[in-house]
Amino acid sequence: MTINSPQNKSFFGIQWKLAPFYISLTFFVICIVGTQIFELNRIRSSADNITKTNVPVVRSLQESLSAAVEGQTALESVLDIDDPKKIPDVSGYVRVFSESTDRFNMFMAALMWGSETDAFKNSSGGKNYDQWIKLGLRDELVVDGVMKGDSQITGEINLYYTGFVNNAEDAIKHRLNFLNLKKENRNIASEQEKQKSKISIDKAREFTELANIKMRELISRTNDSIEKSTRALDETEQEARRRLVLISVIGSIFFSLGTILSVRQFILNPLYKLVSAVEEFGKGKLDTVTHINTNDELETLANAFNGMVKSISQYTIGLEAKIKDRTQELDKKLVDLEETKKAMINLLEDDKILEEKLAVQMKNVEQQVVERTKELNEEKARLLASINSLSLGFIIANVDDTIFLKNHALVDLLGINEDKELTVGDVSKMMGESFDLKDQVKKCLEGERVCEINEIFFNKKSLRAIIAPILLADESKNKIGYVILLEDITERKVTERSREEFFAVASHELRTPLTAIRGNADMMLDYWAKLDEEKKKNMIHNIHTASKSLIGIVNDFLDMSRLEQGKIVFDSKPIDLVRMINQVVQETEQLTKNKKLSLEFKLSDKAVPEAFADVERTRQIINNLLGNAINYTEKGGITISLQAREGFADVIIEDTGKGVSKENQSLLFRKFQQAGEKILTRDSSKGTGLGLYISKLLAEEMGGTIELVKSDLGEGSTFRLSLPVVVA
Amino acid sequence: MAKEIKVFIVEDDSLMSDMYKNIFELSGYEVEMASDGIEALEKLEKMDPLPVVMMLDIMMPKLNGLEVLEKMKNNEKFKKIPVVICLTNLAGKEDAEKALALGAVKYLVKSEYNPKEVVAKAKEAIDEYLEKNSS
Repeated sequence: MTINSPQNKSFFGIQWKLAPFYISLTFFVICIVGTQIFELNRIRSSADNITKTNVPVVRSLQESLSAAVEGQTALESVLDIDDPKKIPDVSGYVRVFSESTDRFNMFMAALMWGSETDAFKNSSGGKNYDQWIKLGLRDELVVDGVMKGDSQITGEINLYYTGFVNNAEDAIKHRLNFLNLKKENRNIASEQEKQKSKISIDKAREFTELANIKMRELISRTNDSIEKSTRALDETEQEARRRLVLISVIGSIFFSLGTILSVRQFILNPLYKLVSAVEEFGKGKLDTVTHINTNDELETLANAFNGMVKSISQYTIGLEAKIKDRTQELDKKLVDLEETKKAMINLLEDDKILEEKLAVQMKNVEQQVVERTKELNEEKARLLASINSLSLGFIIANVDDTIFLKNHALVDLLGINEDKELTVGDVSKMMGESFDLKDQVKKCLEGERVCEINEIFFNKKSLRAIIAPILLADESKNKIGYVILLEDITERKVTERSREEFFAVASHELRTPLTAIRGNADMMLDYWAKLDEEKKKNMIHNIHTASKSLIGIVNDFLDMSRLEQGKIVFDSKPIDLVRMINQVVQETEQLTKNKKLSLEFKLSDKAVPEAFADVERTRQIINNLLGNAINYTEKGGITISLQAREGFADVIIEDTGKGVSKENQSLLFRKFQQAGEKILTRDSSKGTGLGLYISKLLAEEMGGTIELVKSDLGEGSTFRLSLPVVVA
Repeated sequence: MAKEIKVFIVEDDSLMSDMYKNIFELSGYEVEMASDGIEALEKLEKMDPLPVVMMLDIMMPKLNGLEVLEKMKNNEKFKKIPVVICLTNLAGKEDAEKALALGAVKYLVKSEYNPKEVVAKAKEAIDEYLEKNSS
């Protein structure tokens, strides 16, 4: 786009079009204001002149007035002067008078003709009114009045001064004559002279007085005329100022109007044209053209605007064309789309049918899924229940060592919170330094086989761990995790230990009687001849005792074995416990006597009903209890009592023996457990540790119980066998 | 006949103690008896002269055989008893080692030897001791 610069045509810029106004304004200002100022200045200078000249004039008038007075006074004094040399000179006064009147005349001339004119320089003459130049003095009358009146007065004053002077000279002359005469002949002649002097003086005085009156009048008139002319000047000045203001105002109004009109004409009109063109263009008229032919910047702007409009319209037309093309294309595409849509709808309808079929299928599948999920959930529940019911601690872990599943048993074993989220790492840490679970897991997984670790000690328990990797059943054999089983084998170990201990003790027990039997038999065989009756009897007795002991031990083993297998047959019938106890007491008396212990059977007041139990086994139990009491009592005695209570008969055996400590009380009826404290420092009981255990089993099989009623260390124990009574 | 060698039998089981008492006496030894560890140490204190041989059972009440051995080891007088043989039914290897470490000369399991053999073992030990000390 190019701007048509109007350099072909003559270009006359706006600033030049407005130039006349600047110039005329300036001219106006200069002229009017200048002339006014000039006039004002002239008035001012005239006023100044008047002042300049009037002051000395008035002063000289004053001087001549005072001179006249002075002269007169001097003259008066002449009558008294005797010395001729002292006679005043009058000529001085003459000079003063003429000077002042001259000065006044000059002043008058200045008023009339201006101070610079020749007329001023030739001041003493009456001149024609026609030659006057009016110097801004409006009031002719003033001048006129002044002229006429004042010159008349000055004439009169001159006359009077002349009169004075003449008379003064006369007076003086006569005085001189007098004085001269006085010396020689002071008679009538001198008197005449004196008289003449006097007369002359009086005349002079008249003249002086007249002169003074006129002089005063002149002075006042002069002051008046000065005042008047000054006032006239002032008025003129005022008027001149007023004129200036008026002209300025009028001029300004004209100028403003002129400016407004010209701005309107040269600037605003074209601009409005342009603005309306822009608006039109803005409304959408793309062929807007504005014609401004002012040959100046505005024309340039208009041309630029026209050019822009043209370009924009061209561009817009181009765009519209493009849009049209595009729209055509889109229409075509739309048509295609419509056809595609139709095709799709057809397809969709087919689809719909398919969908419906699918939906039915889906429903079936869903139902299957639901059923299957239910089955799986049941399986899962069963599996979980099974796992949780295990008494082994069970962990299923993922390859990343997080725990997928853990059961109750494990939680109890580790003594942790059920909800706690754990990793195998955590469990490993918990199990302490004696057993590195994580390490074991690693080894096991590397080996891809099941590992078993015994001898793990944790939290005062003996544990056994089994670690098994879980492999997928396909060819990949990927490990998806592993299983850890933790078994608390403390009980078993205890049992094993007890069993080991038991075997130690039992072996010992067996060996003792065997050795005794063998030894004594050997000795008897080897030393038969040497031995006396006593010794022989003693040895045989020992063999007998040993045999019995052996039988007892073996029986214990057999009993226990059979009891545990449930193979013992009980022949239960009514038993008279009183009689049985008496028998047992009788049999055991010797033993207690040997140990210096008392043995007492305390019968209850009430009749005790018969017990319903196996005779032999009951006897066995009572013997066992009694035997223990005797074995564990060193001093004091044993009391057996028989009591009845609801449905049961109680056989109570009380001793004053060692007693059993609280910790061991719970162990009493266990297998292989001795009632003694330490295993090596055992009492001389030939027990296998099975006694109480067997007794308990027997009692329970017969429907009864054995209990440790109480026991205190150092004081004794009380055991109670309860057997069911015969139901009447 | 020379003075009989004194043997001190410490055994709580009366059957056993009877048996060994008989066999040693029959074999011509002088026999002293004690039936538990405490009694054994008490008797040793008063015994004069000290026995040459001590047959010490392990499993006894009050103070067991090993404890007795220990007490004897720390006692100036008892240290001098030349032959101490453990006669026990405890057949464990550790028990034997423990006993021998505490100063027993021999460790015999009762059931492995008949009484005569026990006496023979005792004699063997005495002979060994005499041999060691005379040379």
